[in-house]
Amino acid sequence: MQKGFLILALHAHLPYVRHLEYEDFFEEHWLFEAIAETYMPLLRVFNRLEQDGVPWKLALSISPTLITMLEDGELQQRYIRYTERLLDLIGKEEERTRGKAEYRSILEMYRALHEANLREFTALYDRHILKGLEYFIKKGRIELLLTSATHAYLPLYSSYPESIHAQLVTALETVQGVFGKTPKGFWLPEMGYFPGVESYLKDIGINYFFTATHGILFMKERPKYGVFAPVECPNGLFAFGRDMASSHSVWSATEGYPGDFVYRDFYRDIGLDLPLDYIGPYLPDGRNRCFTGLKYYAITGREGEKEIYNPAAASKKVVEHAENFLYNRVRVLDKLGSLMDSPPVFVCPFDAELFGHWWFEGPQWIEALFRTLSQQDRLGSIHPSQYIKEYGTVQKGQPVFSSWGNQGYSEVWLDGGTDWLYRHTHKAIERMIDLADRYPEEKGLKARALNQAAREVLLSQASDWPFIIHAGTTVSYAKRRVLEHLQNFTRIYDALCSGMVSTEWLTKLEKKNIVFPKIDYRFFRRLKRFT
Amino acid sequence: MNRERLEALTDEALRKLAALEGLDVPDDVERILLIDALLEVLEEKQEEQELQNNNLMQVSQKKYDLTLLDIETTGEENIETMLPLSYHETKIQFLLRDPYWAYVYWDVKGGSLSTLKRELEAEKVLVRVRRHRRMPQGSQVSSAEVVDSFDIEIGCKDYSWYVNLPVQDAYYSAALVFTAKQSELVLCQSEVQYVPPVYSFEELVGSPDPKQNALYHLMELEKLDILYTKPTVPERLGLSDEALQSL
Repeated sequence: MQKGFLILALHAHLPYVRHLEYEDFFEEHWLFEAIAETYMPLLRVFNRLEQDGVPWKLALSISPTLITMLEDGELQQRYIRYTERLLDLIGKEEERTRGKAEYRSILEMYRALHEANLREFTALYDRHILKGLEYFIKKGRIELLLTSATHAYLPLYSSYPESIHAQLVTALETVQGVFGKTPKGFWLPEMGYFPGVESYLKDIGINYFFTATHGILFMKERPKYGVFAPVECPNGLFAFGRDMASSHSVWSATEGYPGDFVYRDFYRDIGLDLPLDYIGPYLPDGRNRCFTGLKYYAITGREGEKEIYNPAAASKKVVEHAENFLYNRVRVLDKLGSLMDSPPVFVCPFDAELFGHWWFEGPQWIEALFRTLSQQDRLGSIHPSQYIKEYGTVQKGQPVFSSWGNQGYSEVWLDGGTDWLYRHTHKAIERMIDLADRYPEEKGLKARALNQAAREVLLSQASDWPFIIHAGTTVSYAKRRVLEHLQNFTRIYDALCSGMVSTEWLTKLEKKNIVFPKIDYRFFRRLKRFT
Repeated sequence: MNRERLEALTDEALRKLAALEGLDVPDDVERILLIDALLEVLEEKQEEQELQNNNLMQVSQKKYDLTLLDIETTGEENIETMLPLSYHETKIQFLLRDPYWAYVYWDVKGGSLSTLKRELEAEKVLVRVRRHRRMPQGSQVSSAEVVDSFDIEIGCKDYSWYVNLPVQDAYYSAALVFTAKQSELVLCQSEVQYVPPVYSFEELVGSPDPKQNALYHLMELEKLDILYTKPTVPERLGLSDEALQSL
């Protein structure tokens, strides 16, 4: 008899990056690495669980920008080229390390991974890996979640209902277009919640969303069951709060499972280690060192020489960690039995790319977790909508402003390095609303210009750009992207104001930023303000 | 980080980068030593930057990591200055950063606070931060009774400010105000925002209901960092046009 439930929620997202004007573009590798190390391995995990009759349930959000990129023929072709080049490098590495037995099993592992990826990507999924996910959605294994169109961090746009509405409706159209389904759950980008966002979610048919732990715990009326049960908001939507303990054991690089010394080290990559004249042909521009995905070392420890990675030892450890995760949840579950009137739920939301890309063994851990869960009957996996349906309202309240970012609020997306951009994105929204009001029923060239303007406004709002600037990773690219979208928008705005739209320029831009082909600029029409 | 990327830069670009990073470089320094020093500074900077984030953000960051260190060498750090400083409209916006800090930015018709100040014969320009008893009814901010306020005098070249909020579980707004000897003019007013309460670990587990306390202990709240640390102080407190141009 199951006494409690685990909700595993994964969020797959990457910003829209597509630069066909370059032969090989550095930041496009975000997508290729995620396909190779996260999405394809996860699909294989799901297939294996299914073949073995293991029961499993998870909630999955795939951001509309990622959906668009995964469905893009040019990017699909580039992923194939990326994989072929990687296989070529693996061949070269097999030659270079011939006679060194310690590298053999690692290179065999990489060859098997990328050959399987290539084979399945082309033959099994015909390049459309979303088909693989759709199968599990239809089977009822995966509950599909929605997120905003370009992953805008919504609390910083709370003064612009039209923009939030446009983010949501554009996202919904994209998801419905690919999966033919209307999701019931919503993944707030960065878990960024502000009171009132649930009104917009309700308008598009959403029933529940996820929040940061303190989004629930800091409510004016302390929730009786904390985050062990969803909270029903005044408008009837349910908020599922993140369980800190289970999240921590997976997210923490130091105390969490991914930091175990036997796991593969993320940082030591031959793209950084080997001589440039050898590795150069496999780097995006032949000169700038970056990760290739071929990493030979285990984490080993904080200091000293790294040990060679042992895939078999890591696989063994994965099972131990899945068992430990389950043991800890069941231990809490047993204690909760006398404290709650309904079955407790452990909400574990994660970035999907954590599994495989950063924590290389992460997909195996998910597989081991579901297999371990299936071997006992106290804790089961459940979809959020099923929990709501079966147990209804357990507690009520109004969640508070919160996010899962550093210090729990907006400082990751609003600080001294990024505050400048909101003045401009806000202005672009105001202008877009004006355009939608001024041109209520345009057709032809003007409608194309208006739709492209809407795309550019949405793209400028991606939370990735301030995040990257704050994190200091690919700062100049992130800044350029914000600037580019704002300038594109302004150029269209000025052209529409002067009645002179350049068809040639617009066509070029439409081909470049081709995201959301069915966008409708009227999504930005002025709304009656919420009070 | 890759040494090759630095080695590909001209001496002038290296010196510019060193200046940006606050390195004092003698004229006759050897190129290789300059690169070594830059590598060290840039790596330290990135480590520091990473440590400022919680576990979750550190891991999320890996999604965008293609190399160990990104450096801006193209001079595009001034991208902000490629966007207009003013849209020639009168408005003030209040963005809640966390329960302790809000970011306020403003703009005025004509684009210049000093011109407006002169025209209005004002003595001071202020950002007035108001605390309200409740959210306004409808869109009329004036209907939200003010219980407290404080003023921040701003310079005519300022265009934004981080405001420290003294009270949580409260409603705040900001207004741009011109004052003269006997009068004042409220030029524009932001929307009212609700600032949530914050609690300590002791408060969360200090319920009179022992069952609830036992349940809260099971959430392992000691792992919730915001119960122990306050949000960081924003790294720049307002920025003038001049400062912006010099970035």
